[in-house]
Amino acid sequence: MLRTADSVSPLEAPAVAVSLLMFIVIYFTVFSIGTFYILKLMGHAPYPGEPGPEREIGPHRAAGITPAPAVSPERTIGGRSAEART
Amino acid sequence: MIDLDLTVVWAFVIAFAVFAYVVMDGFDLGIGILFPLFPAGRERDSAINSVAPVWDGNETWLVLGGGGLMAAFPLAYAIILPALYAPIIAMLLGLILRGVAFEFRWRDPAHRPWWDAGFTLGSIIATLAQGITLGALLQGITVEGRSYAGGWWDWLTPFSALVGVSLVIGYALLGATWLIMKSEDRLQDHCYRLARILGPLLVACIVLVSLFTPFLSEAYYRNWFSFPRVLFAAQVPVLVAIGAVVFFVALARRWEYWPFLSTLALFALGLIGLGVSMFPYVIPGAVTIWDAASPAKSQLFMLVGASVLIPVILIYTGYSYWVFRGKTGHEGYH
Repeated sequence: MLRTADSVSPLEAPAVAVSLLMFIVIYFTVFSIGTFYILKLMGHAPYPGEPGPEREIGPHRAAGITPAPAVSPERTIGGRSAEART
Repeated sequence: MIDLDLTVVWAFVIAFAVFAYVVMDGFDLGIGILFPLFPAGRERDSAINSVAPVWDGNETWLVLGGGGLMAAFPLAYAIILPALYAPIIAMLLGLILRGVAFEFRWRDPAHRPWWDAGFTLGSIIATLAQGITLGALLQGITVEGRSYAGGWWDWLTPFSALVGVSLVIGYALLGATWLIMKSEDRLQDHCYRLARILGPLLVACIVLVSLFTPFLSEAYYRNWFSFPRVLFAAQVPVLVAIGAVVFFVALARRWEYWPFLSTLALFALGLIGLGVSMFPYVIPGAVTIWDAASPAKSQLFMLVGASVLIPVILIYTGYSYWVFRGKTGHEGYH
């Protein structure tokens, strides 16, 4: 009924190329910074008796899923308070 | 259903989505624009905290506006998007940059100045691009047959640049007046000072754009000044004047809510003015809403969905603003 070649918008190749390139650059920058950040966190191996997360100043969560530091130990199953009670 | 014109209903749905977007995303983009003016530390953190709970829901309306345009007015979508390709892509890239910066500035305090700069840059790019898009649409798009036939830089003219800069000032004012509501002490004082500068600037921009618009095309001139229409149209500038007076009185007396509300009223009047200029065209001078409309069956089908979803979105959005009402501090959960 309608071939892709007949349905293209009147955009010239350079316009599309530039926008694609911009998306690639921005996504690569953002995701490589994210990966680098995660690797940096993973670089510190955990050891027994290390201090728990401090009460940070500032929001623990701006959007999306709740990260571990935002969950207080008292509220987790098997957390300190649960152990204290038994 | 018989005497209800679905096409007109959809035009209003999309106009509503655009307005809801400006109401809700305007102030958080504005905070991004003003960010470098706040000293790093407490003021910036409070400013971010005041929008953190709501900012990413605000862009829902952009999706509704764009998706609604594609579904209800496919011809308009097919012409406008290629014509305004550059500013629209720039807007998306700006929104990506600021969304990422929003999240990372808390996780990565060592590079916080960089993320803050990205937050501001993304906000300014997105706002400028939105204004330029609007200006370019208003000044007219070259259409041949059923597709865009203009050049690649048609969107960039002194007029579209003026609208872009006006929108940056307008969003900055929304951001400042939002913070007047949501903050205390030093940040609030700072925002009162900013609003005192930005308010007159925005009024000047509104006057400039309004003076320019009727002379962009004869049709606009007629739409504003021909007899039966002028009775309705003339109320718009009068109400703008009243809104501006309310704004300056509220600012002088330090009423916390009214500066924001009156700025929103100015934006609403700007949108109504846009409607006066353009209606019933969706692409000025070339395509009316009826030319661009999709079949009545599709419009009806989507209207059923929209009439359920839009109230649902409004309810949960309203609830999240209610939960996070009141002043925000610079620390704690948000």
